[in-house]
Order: sequence, then C-alpha cells, then structure tokens
Amino acid sequence: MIKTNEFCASLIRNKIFIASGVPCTILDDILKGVDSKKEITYINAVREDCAIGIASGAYLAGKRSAIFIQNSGMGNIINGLTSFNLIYKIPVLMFITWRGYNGKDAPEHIIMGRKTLNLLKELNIPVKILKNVKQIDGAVKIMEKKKIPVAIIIKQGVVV
Amino acid sequence: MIRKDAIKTILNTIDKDDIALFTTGFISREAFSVFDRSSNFYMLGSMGLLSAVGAGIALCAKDRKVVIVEGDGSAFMCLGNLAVIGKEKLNNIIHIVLDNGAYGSTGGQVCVSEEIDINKIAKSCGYKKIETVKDADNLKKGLQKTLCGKGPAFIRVLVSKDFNENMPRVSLTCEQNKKRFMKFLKEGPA
Repeated sequence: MIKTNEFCASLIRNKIFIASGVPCTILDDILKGVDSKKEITYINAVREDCAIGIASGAYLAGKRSAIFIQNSGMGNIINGLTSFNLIYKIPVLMFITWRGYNGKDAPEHIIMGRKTLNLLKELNIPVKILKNVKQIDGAVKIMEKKKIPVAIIIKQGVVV
Repeated sequence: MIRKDAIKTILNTIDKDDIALFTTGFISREAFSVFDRSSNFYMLGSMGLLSAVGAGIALCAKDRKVVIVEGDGSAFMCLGNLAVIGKEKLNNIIHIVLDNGAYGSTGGQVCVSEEIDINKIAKSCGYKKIETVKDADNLKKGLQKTLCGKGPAFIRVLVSKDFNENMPRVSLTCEQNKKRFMKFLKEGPA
C-alpha cells in the first residue's frame, strides 16, 4: 500500500507541474492530494481526451505533466495517442485506474477490465502496475528517454 | 471571406512573440503555405484536441498569447474544452473559429454550426470578448483588440466553403514541427 502523501511527494520529486484528469472513485484520495499541493496545478478535464490534450500542451511548453483517468476512459484517448502523442513524440505520465480487475465489478467495466493491458500493449505503450512509488521514478525515466506516454495502472486499494 | 485570406490576416496581425496553433486538415495546410514560422504549430491529427492543447500551453506559458485556429467542425467536436478554458480563466487565449458551416477537408459535408450559435456557447463558457467578423479589416481590428486585452477571447470568422483542394500538405515532419515549436516557446523569436 502507498500513502497518498508519499504518492504526491513522488510526483513533486519527479517535477510533475501540470496534472489533468477525470475522476474515478479509486482516484478520490489521490486527486484531493494532488489538488492540495501548490507545486502541482491540477485541471479538471471535461473528458479524458481533454486531459491528454492539456497535459500534452504543458509538455510543449516545457513542463512535465500527468493525466489521471479511469480505464473506461481509455477509449477516449486512443485517437489522441495514435495521431498526436505517439507521432509527435509527446510524453505524458498516464495514471489509469483498473476497474473491472479480475472480472469483478459493475457490468460496464467488465470488458475494459479484461482489455486494459492489451490495448496499451497494442499501442506499444510501456505499462507498470503500481505497487511502490519507485515505479513512478522509473516510468518518468522511460517516458523522457522514449518521448512517449507511459501508463501506470492503479488498482483499488493500492494508494490510500 | 476566403479562409486562406483569413489565416493570412491572422498571421500578419499577431505579434512575433505570439504563438498560433492550427487544427488538422486544410487549415494547417493553408497556414503552412501562407506564412510558415517557428511560432506555428500544425496539429495534423486528433481533430477536436487543439483547444485542449492550447489550454495546456496557455497554463504554462502565461506570458504568451496563444492563438487557437480551428474550424467549426473541430470546435463542435470538443465543446467541453471551451468550458475548461473559460473556467480556468486562461486570459492569454484567443480562440478563433473559421466557420464555413462544413467539414471542408473531407468533402464539404454540412456541420451543425450552420444552425447553432457557437458565440453563445463561448459566452456561457466564460469567454470575455466574443465577436463575429466577416472580412479581413474587421478580423484584423478584432484581433488587435483581443491581443491588447485580457481574454479568453473568441472570434468567429465567417468564411466561404472555397478552398484549393490541391494545397500541399505540411512538409515538416511531426517531430520537426514539435522541436521547432518547443525551441521557439523556450527561447522566444529568432
């Protein structure tokens, strides 16, 4: 388990300047934590593609950025990823929650719960399943080296 | 007004420190052919995403005017982005919609903008200065006013459906465009 404060400290240490996202219940404490930090500007996005657009714009302006979305919203960022981030080489740290993990959840999450990792793999986007904050450091290094988005998957109960 | 002329007017009116973002399709091609420079960013895909990208830039480069240039089809695709721009009071954004009432780049199919007043949407979303212009003179005047003032500003430019189908594509690669643009944002005009 990772404490929310430890998670936020890791973002600050990794110089995440702008974060944008659409809420998920799994992100509740995290987003409150991120929003409370003066080092990070959190922008409520109206949809997941808006979040990745904002984060990408921040990168173009020389700042490191992250998005926070539920895996159900991944469908809304595919076009942005394939026709913008991956071809212009625009890195964004993508925190994606894993609803429907192990086939256990409300019906609307079951299919995406099964497909989340494969979809990211299909796009050759590096994926880490969050267990400790050092993975965030590692993800940032990959993202900066390859200049592409990197996904960090957050399961229920991992960040408290 | 011919759309290409509207783009020419925009690029000749904005300051050398200002940045201009162009949406996918013929708007980027026309901007590239009319007045290419390192403060231009051409978004070749992701229709509808441009205004969110503009918002991200505006948040981080508060000393720059960020001119977003998209068509009505692109603007209507992600109307929610207008709400974010307004709510975050991104005063350095000038949002220009070149409205020909159609999806020009794909054959001129009709867009909802023919019947829906996007200016009212911009006002509801919190944009401060909003106007519609139909000719180069008024576009220039409107732009000069918004460049001096605090936005976010919204200019709807009524343009015809005419365009040159043989307009060549942007010849910069995506990475070239990105690197050149990021260098400009970091270092200022040459």
